[in-house]
Amino acid sequence: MLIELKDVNKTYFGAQPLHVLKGINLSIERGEFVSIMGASGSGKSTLLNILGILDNYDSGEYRINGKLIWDLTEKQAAEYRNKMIGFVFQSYNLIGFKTAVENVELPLFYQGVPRRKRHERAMDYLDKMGLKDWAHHYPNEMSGGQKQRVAIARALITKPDIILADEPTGALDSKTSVEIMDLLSKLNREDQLTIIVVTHESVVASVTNKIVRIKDGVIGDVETNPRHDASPFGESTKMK
Amino acid sequence: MHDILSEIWSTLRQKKLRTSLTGFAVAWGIFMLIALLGAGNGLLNALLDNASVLENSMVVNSGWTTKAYAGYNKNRFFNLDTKDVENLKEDRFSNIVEEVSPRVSQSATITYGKEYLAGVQVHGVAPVYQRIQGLEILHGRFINERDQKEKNKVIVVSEDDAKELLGGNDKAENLLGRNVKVGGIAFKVVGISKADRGFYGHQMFAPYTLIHALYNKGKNIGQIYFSFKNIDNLETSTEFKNAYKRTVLANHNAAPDDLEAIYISDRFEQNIQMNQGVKIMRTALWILGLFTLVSGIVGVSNIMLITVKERTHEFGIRKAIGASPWSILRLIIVEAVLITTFFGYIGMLCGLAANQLMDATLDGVVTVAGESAQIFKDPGVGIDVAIKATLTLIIAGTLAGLVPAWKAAKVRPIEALRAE
Repeated sequence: MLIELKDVNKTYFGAQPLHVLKGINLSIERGEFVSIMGASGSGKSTLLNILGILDNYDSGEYRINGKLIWDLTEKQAAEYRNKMIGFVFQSYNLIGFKTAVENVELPLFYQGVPRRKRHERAMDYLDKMGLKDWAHHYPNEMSGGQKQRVAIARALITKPDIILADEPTGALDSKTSVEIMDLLSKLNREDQLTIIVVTHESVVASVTNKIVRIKDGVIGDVETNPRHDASPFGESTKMK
Repeated sequence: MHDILSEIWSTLRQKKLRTSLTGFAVAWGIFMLIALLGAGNGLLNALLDNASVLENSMVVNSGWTTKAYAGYNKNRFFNLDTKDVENLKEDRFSNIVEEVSPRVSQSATITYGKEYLAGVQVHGVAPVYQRIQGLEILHGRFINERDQKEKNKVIVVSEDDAKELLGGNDKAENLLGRNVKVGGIAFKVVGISKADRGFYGHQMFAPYTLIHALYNKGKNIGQIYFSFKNIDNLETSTEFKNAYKRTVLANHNAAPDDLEAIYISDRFEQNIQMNQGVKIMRTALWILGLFTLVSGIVGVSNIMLITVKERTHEFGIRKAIGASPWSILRLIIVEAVLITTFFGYIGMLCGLAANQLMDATLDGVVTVAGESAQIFKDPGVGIDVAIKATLTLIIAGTLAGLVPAWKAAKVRPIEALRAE
């Protein structure tokens, strides 16, 4: 089991304590292509942050590859993120004053990979994304789809265990959205990458093989979707 | 290291204006410190240089009475005379007074061939006068005991005056051994002294006994110079001065309590005052300099704070993809160190250049109403001071960068990613 969450709880202590995750249990196997769906306020972003080791949880257990993610120092967390997780964000989160290839190289920089080697690998990944000619362009010279593909290349370059995509198509038009989702799907199929997509769009979720619905901090139903024909409105509304 | 440098270079290139403003603040701080200290040293050097006279010495001047006494009106002038000189050599002052040189002066025109100098003060002095006045002999010698005894017609001429007498194109030492005419009488030049730029006008030196005899000075003496020993505080000094003043007053039928009538210039006392003045000035210069330095440091700190705030989102991205807090901290610290080092170095070079410029362009001699004085000499700070000041700024700049860097390193990636 690649990812295992057991009774994970998270409360935000503000003026009014907010119990966001109420005992999440979730298992994801290596090579799965999963989407986590939920409305805003459902706790899906918090779940994503915990999965991505960007935030900690109050109780329960979270294991990646059997390794317990608990009580990590900032340095350890950074190291785990760097080695095990690749992020794809809605707003791309590329560094503006770096070229595409420099952005892709960055995770390897933090691994201490020599300059020439990481440049070579970054170029390989850009090539794979069909962006070889754009390697030396800055993010503001590229389209949204191109930027997201640079971000995907950056997420892939460390060969992580998990790709976490947070609304990866949220800022893209529908045609480009389809392209990006096809790309993720292809990476899952051909390279056996484990990909978790957080979204509120069922069109996006329907591309994935498994749909996890979250509502009010608890997992609702988990639907397998091998034929990619999940209805936009969920299992229950499907014609029998 | 190469990676960090190229990281920093790319961010600095992004923010050219901000980088140059920060750099300016740093460079300006160092520049002002060095230029200020350099100029201050110029003033102090001139002051100390003019004061090359023997510290343990005094000069007694002829006086004007301030009180009516023994049938005389007040405001009566009296000349010092040979008796005053003899009194000084008496046993009761012998534990204090060392060597005495009376000085009698005669204004004369000095000629050498076609060249001449008018209105020269020819001072008749004893050999010890050279030591008391800190007179530097460049070539030849000063008046000696034998000249004094034999009333030799010898003269010591300053470098500047010697050049003038030689027509301005010759070396001063070529006048050595030649005869110059002092009001028609031939004197042999035995020494060339360093020009005293603290003195106004021309002066030359001859044996005291000769001038006294040659110009029929009678018993009159202009000033009495003497060196002393065993005075190490102002009380002893005042006690001695008052005792001697009373002797002189009695010699000239002036009121015994008219101590104001005689002015004794006490180099010991002046030196104490000057040292205090110099100390205050140095401290003031350092305080001013340090304040400019502080403004540079505040500039760096301020800019680093803004930088960190602006780049919070970027740091969030970096942390999400695996940057450790330490790597973020290092990025900012190295940036602060580089900026302060680079611009601090430029400021230091500019400051040193400014000192050179001051040295080259200001001759430091100010002339007011025909009289000139050296008020500025050898400006500049030692290279060690310049380097120390620059290092201080670099260290302070680093510390100033440390607080914002710490904040940046501590920022949580989710919060940073939210910041836009």
